[in-house]
Amino acid sequence: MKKVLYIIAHNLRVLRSDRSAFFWLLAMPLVFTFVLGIMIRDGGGGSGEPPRYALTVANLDEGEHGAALLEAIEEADEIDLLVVEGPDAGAEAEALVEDGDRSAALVIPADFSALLEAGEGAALTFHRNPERMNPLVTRQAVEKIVSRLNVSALAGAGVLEGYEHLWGAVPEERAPELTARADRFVEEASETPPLTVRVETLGRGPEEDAPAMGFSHSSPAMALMYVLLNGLMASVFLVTERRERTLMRLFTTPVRRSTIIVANLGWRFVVGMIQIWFLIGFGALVFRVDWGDSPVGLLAVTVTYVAAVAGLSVLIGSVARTSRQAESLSLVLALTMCALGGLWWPLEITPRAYQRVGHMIPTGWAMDAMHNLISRGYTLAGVAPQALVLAGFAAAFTVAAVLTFRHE
Amino acid sequence: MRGDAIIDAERLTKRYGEIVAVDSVSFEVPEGEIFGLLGPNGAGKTTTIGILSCLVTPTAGSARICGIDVTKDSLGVRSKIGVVPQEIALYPTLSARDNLVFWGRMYGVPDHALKQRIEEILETVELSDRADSRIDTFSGGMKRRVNIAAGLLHRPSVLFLDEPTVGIDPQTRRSILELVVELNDHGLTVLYTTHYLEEAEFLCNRIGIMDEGKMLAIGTKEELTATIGATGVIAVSADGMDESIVGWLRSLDAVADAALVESELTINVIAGPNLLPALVEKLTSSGAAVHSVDVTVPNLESVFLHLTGKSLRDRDGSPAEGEPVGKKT
Amino acid sequence: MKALRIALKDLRIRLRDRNTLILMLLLPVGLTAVIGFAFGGDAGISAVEFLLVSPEEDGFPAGDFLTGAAANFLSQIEIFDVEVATREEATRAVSEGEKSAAILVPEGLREAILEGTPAEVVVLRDPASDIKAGIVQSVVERFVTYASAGGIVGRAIFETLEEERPLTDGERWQLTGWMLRWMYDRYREPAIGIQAADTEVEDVNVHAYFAPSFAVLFLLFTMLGSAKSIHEERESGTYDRLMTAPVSRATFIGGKLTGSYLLAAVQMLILILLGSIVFGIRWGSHPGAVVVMALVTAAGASSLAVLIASIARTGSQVDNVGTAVILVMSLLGGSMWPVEQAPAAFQNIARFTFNYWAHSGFKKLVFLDAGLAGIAQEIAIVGAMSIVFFALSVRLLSRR
Repeated sequence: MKKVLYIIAHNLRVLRSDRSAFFWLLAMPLVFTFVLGIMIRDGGGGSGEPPRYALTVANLDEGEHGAALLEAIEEADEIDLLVVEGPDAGAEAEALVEDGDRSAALVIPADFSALLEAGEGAALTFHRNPERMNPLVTRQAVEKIVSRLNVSALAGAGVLEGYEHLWGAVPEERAPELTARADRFVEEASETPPLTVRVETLGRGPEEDAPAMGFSHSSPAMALMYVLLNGLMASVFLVTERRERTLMRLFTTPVRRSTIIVANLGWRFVVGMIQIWFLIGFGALVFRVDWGDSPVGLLAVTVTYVAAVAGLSVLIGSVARTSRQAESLSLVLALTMCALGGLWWPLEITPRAYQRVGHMIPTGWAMDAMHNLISRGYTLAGVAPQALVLAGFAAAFTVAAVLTFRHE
Repeated sequence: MRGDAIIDAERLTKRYGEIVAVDSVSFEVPEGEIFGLLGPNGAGKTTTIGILSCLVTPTAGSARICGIDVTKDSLGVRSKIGVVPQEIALYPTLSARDNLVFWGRMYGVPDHALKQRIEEILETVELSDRADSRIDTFSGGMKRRVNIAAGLLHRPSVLFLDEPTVGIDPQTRRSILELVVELNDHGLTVLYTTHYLEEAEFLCNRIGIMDEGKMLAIGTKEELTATIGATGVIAVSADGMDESIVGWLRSLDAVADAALVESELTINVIAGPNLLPALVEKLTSSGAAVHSVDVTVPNLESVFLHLTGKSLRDRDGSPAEGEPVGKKT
Repeated sequence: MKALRIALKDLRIRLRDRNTLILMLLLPVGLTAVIGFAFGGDAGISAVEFLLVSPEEDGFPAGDFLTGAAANFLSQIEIFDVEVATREEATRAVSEGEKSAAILVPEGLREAILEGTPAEVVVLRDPASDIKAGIVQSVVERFVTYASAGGIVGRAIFETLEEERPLTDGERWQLTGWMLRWMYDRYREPAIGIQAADTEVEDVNVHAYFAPSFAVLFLLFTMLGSAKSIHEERESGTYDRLMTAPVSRATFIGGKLTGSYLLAAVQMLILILLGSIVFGIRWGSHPGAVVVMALVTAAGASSLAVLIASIARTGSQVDNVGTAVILVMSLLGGSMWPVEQAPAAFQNIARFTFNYWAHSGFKKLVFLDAGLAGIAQEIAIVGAMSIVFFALSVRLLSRR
């Protein structure tokens, strides 16, 4: 079996002689991991700087309520505020949204204070750019501020109406005093609300000082994606070997067919393992990704996943007739499997049927295993089901590859 | 001779569905011989080599290399043979030396001997100074030589060369033919396939003529030419000839065979020159414009014509101009 | 005329190649379909499954209106799929990822709201679920905020009136009954409301968002393959052969560019058509503007690819450099995800990419129903990019 190692070493040498290989195998995934990591971290969902949402406010009201609302918005951390003024402020704010310069705008109507003082409801107008997702979050932030103001208004009104209900009309001189007292009560009570929410993330949960929230999402997904993409693309080598007749020549030397197939699986496996562990290592050291508590579990998952990719790669290389065909087939399969397996977006948000499809291919299982290791802190036993399924995929692909392997 | 034959093929047959690529082909090659398989493209030469090198499983028949059956012990056979494919089957981005190291290992050359062997072989193919350059920087001829060298590292008992000179320039062709002669001088048995009769005539001790999967005749050049019973060959180059002239010729007692390929007419003649006046008159009267008439002794072309009624030249074009080995006059 | 012949020959070669067609049409349409599959459906997200855990052993007491109201509130949210479970079950199901989250209702929920005694709602999150567990958490937080606020308002009324004039038991009962009705009415109509401005477009159509992204991405790939033929012609010797014919170098370059451009235009228009047919995308009500945007985008992509080919020295360099450039540009330019979610610095970088402007133009057509005037900026920028790329590549190619 020395010859298996010789062929593997030989193929690594061939790969090394291709100057772009380094770039595709190692540099490109890092670029993607980095950019995606930054996006996830800063784009919300991570534990880095809280995200800020762009909101343009046009205050057409000259009364105190408009000013109070604007002040409350100004104090909100999550809002990146732009105030437009002047008689055409409303139209201006709206235009900014329509041109795509700002995601959302809030218009405080001119009769805002007047309506509230008259005890009638007043409506703010919220403009959002329909092509963006962020304004939904912005609107929630605005609602939170407005509800605080509403509570004060409600308490004030309730005291007066309750008084009236019990004892008849409120003496005019008592009214300001009563509403002020209710307002004070609300302010004090709001500082220590009786009912609170505590969030408990089960499993390992994110670490206290996890600076790399974004990367802990992008690193595993990108590592799995690039191992798959590059692995399947390596099918082209087999087609090239057939076209250039080196494979046929190999079959005229005293080397067994099984040796040749094993070596073809073997070198792809070795490259895949080097690649995935390089990315894991880089993620851990540079992006400070926490890969869980079980290196053995991670090893089991990577070994079986890479083996499945290697098997599929040899299978594609055996089935494809030309290198362009192998390329197209690899690209189509790799991208589809990334999308379906939850490497581009979490499977949890997709419909049930989609999740089932995702678990008919290796990527869905590999991503599950990564979640189990990284988020849930499972050990080898915890990822054994996924590793076994991946091993099954590896075996199936390998058998198919053996059956279709040919030298011409 | 049966006992010490390096190659012993018996009634080899290979069918692909309806197509019979090799049809009951038998031949033997004794040690030290250069044996040529001559025939047009598609004659079954490459399939025959494929069976002998264990790439193709024969439908029927058997073959032994150094006494080892190709269908029973393929690994044993493969360690005895060196195969040089028609294509440059090398890794273009690796150096000549890296390629040779790889192929040497695949042939099972022990590590301690490999380095020495590579040096020797590079010397033989005159590429010692370029050993560490990448194959894709080599000229066509250099690549061909490395291609052959890769089949020699394990000191095979027999070397299979499959059309090693297709589509290359005269100088490279000459250097390759000389290399084959040199290797043979050192005792290497060679199975050489070609559709260039000049190469077969120049190189081979014995020649097997194949067409449409069948082995038509085997022998030395002299033996083969003797079988056609002709004493001369007339080659006419003329415009405006048609098949009627061939029919006329075949009806003559003095003509053994005749074939017309485009503007070239080839006639195997039993009673030599006295045919000429009649022929020229016939051609002129039929309106053909004769450019040249050559009269030569019979060669393998005449044999092929005799055996198949076809010319060997019509398939793939003749060897390039300035051919150094042919004896065409 | 000869340039056009060269162009048409290139177009024919490309369109005959099945692999090109896969890259041109099948992949973008396929990926758009997969994304639609992932994010499609009415709610745009699959059901959020979580568990509700009662403080009592035997589930939620039937008469407790507050916990009942909470469960009712949760089950009214369309995408929620709530089940009741014990604490042990909930902990197991959530930690194994069977459910996204669980809500542990505290014992003193009622007292906390009515009397202001402290109580804590606990949300158990599946560590591997960011989005769904996050949704549950934020809904619980909102509920708790509202419930607390309601309690505070109620207590404010009680305390203020008590302070004004001590209440008799009868008055207390009377006040409580009145207040519940009143709050119910008033809570539904808060003093300050927020209304959405009229937008003619419905919610973001996922297909409509991603179809142009992928169209542009794969347009670039097709163009790369097409531009590579400049090198292929050189490497296979057909270029030399052309040069022996009475064809000038300028004609050759012109023919190559025209061929690429025609292919790009064909691909863009087919993909737009497929978008309508397969995904029912409405490309706005200005077909003229859509065609102009498609043609300008085709020009940009083809000239960018030719520029890459003219910088590269060999065909395989075109592949390597080109694929890298396209991928990085698509990553930064928003062909792979909504770039407006990225930090500001990224958004500024995005503005330098071709993808960003091409995608922006199509988004305006679809979502804002923009006409030619509305996408003038995009057309101008993509057009300018095309001219610059084109001029640079002609210059580079004619120097060879």
